Amino acid sequence: MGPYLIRRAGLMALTLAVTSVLVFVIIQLPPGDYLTTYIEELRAQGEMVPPERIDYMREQYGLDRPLVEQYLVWAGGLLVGDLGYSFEHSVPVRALIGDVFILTLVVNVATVLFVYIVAFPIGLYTATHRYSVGDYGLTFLGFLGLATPNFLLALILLYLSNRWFGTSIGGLMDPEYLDAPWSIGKVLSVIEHLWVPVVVIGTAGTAAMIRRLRANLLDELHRPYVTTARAKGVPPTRLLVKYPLRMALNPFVADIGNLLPQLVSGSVIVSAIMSLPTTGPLLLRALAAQDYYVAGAMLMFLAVLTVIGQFVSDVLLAVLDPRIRLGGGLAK
Amino acid sequence: MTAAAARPGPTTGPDATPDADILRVRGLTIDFRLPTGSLRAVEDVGFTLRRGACLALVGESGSGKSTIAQCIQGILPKAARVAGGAVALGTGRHGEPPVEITALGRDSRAMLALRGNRVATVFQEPMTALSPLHTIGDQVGEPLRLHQGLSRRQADTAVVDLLAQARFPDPKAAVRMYPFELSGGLRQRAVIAIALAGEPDVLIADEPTTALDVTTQAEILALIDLLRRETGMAVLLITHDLGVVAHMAAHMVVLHRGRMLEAGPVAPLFQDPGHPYLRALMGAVPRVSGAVQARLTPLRDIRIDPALLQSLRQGTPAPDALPDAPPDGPPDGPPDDDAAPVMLRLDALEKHYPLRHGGLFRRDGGTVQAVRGVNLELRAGTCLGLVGESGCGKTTLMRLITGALRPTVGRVLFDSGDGPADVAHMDRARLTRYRREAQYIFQDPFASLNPRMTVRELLTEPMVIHGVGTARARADRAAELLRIVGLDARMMGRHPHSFSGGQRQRLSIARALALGPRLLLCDEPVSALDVSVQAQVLNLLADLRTALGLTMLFVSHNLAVVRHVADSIVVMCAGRLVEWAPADVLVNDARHPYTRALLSAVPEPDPHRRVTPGELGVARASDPAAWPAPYRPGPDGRTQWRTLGDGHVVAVGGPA
Repeated sequence: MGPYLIRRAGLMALTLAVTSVLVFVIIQLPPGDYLTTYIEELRAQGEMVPPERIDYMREQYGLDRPLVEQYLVWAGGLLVGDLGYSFEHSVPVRALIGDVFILTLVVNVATVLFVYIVAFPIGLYTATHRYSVGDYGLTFLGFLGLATPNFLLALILLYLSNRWFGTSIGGLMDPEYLDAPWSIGKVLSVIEHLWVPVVVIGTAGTAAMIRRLRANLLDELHRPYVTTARAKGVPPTRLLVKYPLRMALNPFVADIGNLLPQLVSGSVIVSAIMSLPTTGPLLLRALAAQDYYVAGAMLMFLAVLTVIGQFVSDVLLAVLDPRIRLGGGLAK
Repeated sequence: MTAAAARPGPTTGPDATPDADILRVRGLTIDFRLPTGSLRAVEDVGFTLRRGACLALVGESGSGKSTIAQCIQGILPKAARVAGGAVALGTGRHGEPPVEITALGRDSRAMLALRGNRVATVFQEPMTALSPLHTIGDQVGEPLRLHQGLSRRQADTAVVDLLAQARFPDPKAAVRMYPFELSGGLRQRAVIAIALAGEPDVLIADEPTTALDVTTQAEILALIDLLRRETGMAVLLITHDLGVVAHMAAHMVVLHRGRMLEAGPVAPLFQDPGHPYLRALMGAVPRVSGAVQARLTPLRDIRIDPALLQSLRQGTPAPDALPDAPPDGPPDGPPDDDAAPVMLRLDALEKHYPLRHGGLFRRDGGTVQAVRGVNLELRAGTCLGLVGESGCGKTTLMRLITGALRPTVGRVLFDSGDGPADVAHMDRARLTRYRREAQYIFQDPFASLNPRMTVRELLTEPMVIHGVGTARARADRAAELLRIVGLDARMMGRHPHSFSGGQRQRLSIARALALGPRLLLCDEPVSALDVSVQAQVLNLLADLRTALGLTMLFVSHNLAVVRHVADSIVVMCAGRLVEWAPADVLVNDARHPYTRALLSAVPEPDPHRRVTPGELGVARASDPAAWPAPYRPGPDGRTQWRTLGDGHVVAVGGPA
């Protein structure tokens, strides 16, 4: 296992390096830079900017240097945790998005847990009670969840949570905690607000996962090894969990790699609508304003999540499935 | 009907006390609930199984024999319902009270305690009967943990004993291994070990060797027989193979469509089968000994309409006429008949594969020599049988012949009358023509037909690919092909799933004939079929060959099958050809130790010719290093043909 992990880690680093180049190229692609956008905005407001000031700023931000150098400075900074400087907000990127990263992670981890916790029992039930009333009912609900647009669900749930629980509309916490330091009250407030976005972002994923788990399990339930286990006298529930469910798990584990970035990017619009202080709205704004380093840090954040997700799922697969661990090239 | 089975003659058991019966089945009737209504799968079946005895349930697929087994094991599917009768299990070896299995709830506590403990099953498919994600130790130890309350560690120790009992070569190592790391034979030993774990009173062996090679089959049968004697458990053998019955059982029950046709001791029934069905079943079994029958007698014969064949021959889109191959000549000509030209010549053929150990985590070099130094000739209009166990390289050899694989060394020369051409170096046009001239019939009729295509699409596809005829002509020809293989032309719009295994294999044959081939490469075409259907397909192939003057290469692991279709037989082992002779000579005068082992492993449908396990030594015979001189390969691993006359050659090591 050791050499495999090392090789995978090396590949991860390489992937991230290549991604950083791509990210940098892409955020540099639109014509002009932050300063041109900035000057345009000032002009639109009827203000004149003296050329010396522009040159000074350009020099100060390093925008006059060759692209390669700019990239190296940026990438070198990333390595030591320096995410660069936000032109627009005039603060280091790290200060700007530190909290946002954490809250994004909280929302997404909660969503993944929600998806798994809801999808597994339902998937199991629908597979073992195929073509029953319960199966049809849950399947219908699942399709409803798949088909409902996220933003609509978001608006409905926001309304309901406000009506029933008096939760403040939008955001991940009550307004009074917005700029307050972390405290027990703030954490509780976050938890109180969390369920709406989690349900909204997770619904479609849950529905998709229920369908997949059901299909996978149905494939496995009639395999000969299940009959063997029945003939051994294994009790039904234990049998279901030990054999077919274990086999049906593989696609889910393999899916973790896709799940993380999908949830992160899928939540951008929803976050904007619900004005969640997550990375989504910030990324949109940064891209629009050509605020390079904010956008770059965000995209790299996505890339890191993707790569880590893949890594985790690959390692878990190898742990779960001896055929992958031991048999890679032995396919006859 | 049941009366015959109720008194199965003098017991062979130790003593005929009133409780000598361990299992009594009385008037058993089982219905299946289907969307279309109720289906009676088993009707009024009754028999008794004596302690320590072996009883065989014999029948084709669909005869209800597996349903009976499931009922006794207590694992009937949800859709099945016992509509009448009873299955009663007698007092157990360890003093367990008698129990009526049919009276227990589906997953009741008493039923769970019975399964894998007092009654255990050895299943048909060792490849899929074990979970790929759990170790052998885990799966074999599970009944111990369930029924005897052993801890995982105690169970692991006990598992080593069980695996040793199932004659695992290295039981300690096997505990930590996964099923996919073991061969088919070893996996079946693991399944047997699972069944042994509960020290069952009744062992149900449900087609335990159907999926295995003949040689592995002989070992597994010997093992089951040995274990029966050692432990005193009774064995209920479910099989369609009369050879296996004769080999193993003292009594038999013949089933057909869920009903008992005949029951009684094996020897008299084999000598004088009363019911016409059993007689027909006997006639369908290919045999190694005795004179070769011209035709096997299948239960439902397909006769080919000569007029159809005539039209097929005329309609054959032959690129150019075969110069002097005798299309109507007797196919039984000896292989050294110099009149017929050589159609296929394998010239010092070798195929090496790079070896990768351990997949993800370890990588090592090295090569496997799947085919080594193969020299072979196939004359036009003859049928050559190629026999060997799985893993001997016969499928690789076939793929080399089709050109799907490129040989590492040597040449495949094909000659359809315009001079020999090397398959690996044919130009595009020649290769396209070669692909029309050489057609393949695959082993698995379920996997080799695209389930989403209709019969019409399946049969016309080769013609479409090769641009033969108009759409109308292709459809007509497809209908004709269907009639030739004995199917109804009205089935053209159906999909493969609505056909049985034998019918699908006939579809495969029809598809292979669509382009009017010269050479038919048959890769185990009947090994997935029931004996009765097998005879039908073998006869069809033989008839087509005679009628169309086809040249055939027929691959199988079963010498008895090959003997019925081939003019000459060549035996392959560990990538090498070891013996080559006219079919009768090979069967009656085999010289090579491996050929002899193969012959001895075929269970003949004759209870007086049982092979005892000690005589076999099959495992050793497939290892070239264990062959005695002069057969042992030389130090460089090479062998060469030594001629014995009459077209009989055998491989020897070193210079002759």
